[in-house]
Amino acid sequence: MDAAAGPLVLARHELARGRPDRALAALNNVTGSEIECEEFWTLRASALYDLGDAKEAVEAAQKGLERDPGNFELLDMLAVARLASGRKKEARKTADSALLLYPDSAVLHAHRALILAASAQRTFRVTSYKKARRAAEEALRLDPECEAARRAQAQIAALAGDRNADTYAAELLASDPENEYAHVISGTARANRGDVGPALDHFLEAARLDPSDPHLAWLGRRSRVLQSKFAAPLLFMERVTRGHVRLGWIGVIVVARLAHQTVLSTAAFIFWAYMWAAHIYIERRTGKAPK
Amino acid sequence: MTIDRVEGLRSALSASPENHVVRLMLAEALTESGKPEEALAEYELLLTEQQLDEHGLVAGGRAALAAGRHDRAQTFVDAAGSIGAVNGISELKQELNESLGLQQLVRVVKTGVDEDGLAQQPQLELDSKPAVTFADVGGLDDVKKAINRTIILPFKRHDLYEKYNRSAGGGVLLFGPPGCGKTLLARATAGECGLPFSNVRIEEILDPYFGVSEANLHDSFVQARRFAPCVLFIDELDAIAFARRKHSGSVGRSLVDQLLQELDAIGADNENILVLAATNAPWDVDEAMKRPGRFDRIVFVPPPDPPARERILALHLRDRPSDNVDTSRIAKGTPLFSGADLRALVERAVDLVIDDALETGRERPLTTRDLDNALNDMRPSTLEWIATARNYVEFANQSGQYDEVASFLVSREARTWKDQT
Repeated sequence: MDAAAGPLVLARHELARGRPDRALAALNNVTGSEIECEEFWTLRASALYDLGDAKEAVEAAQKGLERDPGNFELLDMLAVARLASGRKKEARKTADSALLLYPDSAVLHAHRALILAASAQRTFRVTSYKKARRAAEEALRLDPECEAARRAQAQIAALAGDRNADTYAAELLASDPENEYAHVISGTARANRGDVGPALDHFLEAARLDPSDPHLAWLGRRSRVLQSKFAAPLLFMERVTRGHVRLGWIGVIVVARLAHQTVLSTAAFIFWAYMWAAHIYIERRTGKAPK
Repeated sequence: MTIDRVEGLRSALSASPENHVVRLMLAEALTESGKPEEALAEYELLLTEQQLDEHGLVAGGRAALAAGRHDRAQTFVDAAGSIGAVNGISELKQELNESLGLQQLVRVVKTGVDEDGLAQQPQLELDSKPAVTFADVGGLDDVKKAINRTIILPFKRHDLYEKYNRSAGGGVLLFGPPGCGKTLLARATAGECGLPFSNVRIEEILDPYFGVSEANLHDSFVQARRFAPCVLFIDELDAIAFARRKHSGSVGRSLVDQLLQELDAIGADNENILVLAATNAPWDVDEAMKRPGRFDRIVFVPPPDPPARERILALHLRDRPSDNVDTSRIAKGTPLFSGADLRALVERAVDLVIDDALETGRERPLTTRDLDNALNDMRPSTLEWIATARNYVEFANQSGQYDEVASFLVSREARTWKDQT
């Protein structure tokens, strides 16, 4: 009367239906020779990565690669897990090495594009997404229907504030209107353009589609609070200054001071006080962002 | 006299082993002489040779029941069904159901594949766990009332419901945080109805071979139909009937389709199968499952309330040396603790007592203070579930399916840990 479903079968099933916690619990029951197979480590790395434990995912992927050095899934997982754990250089090296083995993989190119985009973001330097864009284009050239590639293209465009970011996001949504990440990308693209109202709608929709994701729930909660009347002037300023509220406010202060304008100074002060009050109100209503 | 007859028939049979009439007479004589195991062996030989008429099949089934071999009795019932036998079969089936329903749990064991890769027949496994009733479930009065109204009453007053053309069968989905008694409630529901309880779990269904998982699921329903009226309980429904939109592969989707087919069949053909299911994640259950005729009655099972916690604590302290533990106070100080959490709490307290005994050499009973000390730094395991449920109530309750959860979340108990959910 042995169970037909071994822990590996069960783990694969749980992971495919988006329950990495249960997949990991099933993998904890694996014993004997199954621990030595690469599938165990692939599933374990994926489950840990999905649960947000990137460091453990890196370790699991490395252990899997010790057993099967050229495994595509493990190499891909190692690259994205390294990126998630903040080891951008190592992530890039891994992606480059993997591409030597699998040069025609659109998924690998897409993930490399995201790694390059993350690596491009540096403080006090102009960020260039050229390489990341090129990698995403290469991924799409290899497989125009690859979802990972399309998502990477839209994500990079949104990050870079490209004009066509909205188009890419709309294409993603057209192919799957219930894709929560497409809504996040679309919202980000809109917000970067100062189009805050529709951006908040997208974030709310993303939260509605998957409230079990604490990040999306937080984003949705914040969006809902920002849609309240109390936050309306803040949104107006966002729209006017295209996402640069603080710069706009500093500009007003500087001008008011230089011109010795009491009314303007008072208005600036009131707005400053309002901004603080709004900030405290929003923080209290939405709580801290999940880690 | 009977023993002489048995011996005489045995001698006759040894002289002529192919004489089925003599073997049948021997089987009857063995039953009369109170040897059902030996009678069963003879009936089984006759069954293999297809030499039993409907009376013989009923007699064979009775012998199997008398020998305590419910699985063999089912074989005789099946064989009688296959030849279209009528006389005495329903009585035999009733006897079999009664024998199983009151004291035993029917567990469907999923099929595997043989060496040729062909699916094997499903088998039954009987578990002698005693039947539980609502009296064994502490607290949760509102949930019990809801289950009584939606499940038990239609079964007990079948005539009344029939008069108004309201079917008694159908599916009920219990949902709530883990470790809060959903499975126990399902068992207790079966116990209250006096029906056999068949438990289906994903581990028993899932199979790496193509199509076998679906066949296993089908077999579990076939078995349940054999034992009708009965309760078929699907544990962790979300694992079998997961939202197809969220599933990344196409293979698992056929499992959801299969379950939909089986549930629809129940609505049409087998009104006496009561399908209960439990899940921690109702949001992961495919929406099609919640449509009328399937799991259209959804019952929220919250974490145990203070009286339930008190009772659970008393249960865990029952067989341990304790000194007037104030379970009422501990119960009030453990909001949102699940049954599993309370067991862990008692075990931690016991560990403290053992540590103390090892240190001082004095073996003292467990006290309220030990439980208080053990309670330090302990958090209920339901918090994560409640945080997720809060998000669903906030963002995905347009249809009102989580209204009960919403009411619970504004209760004083739920607000105790609000900062951490």
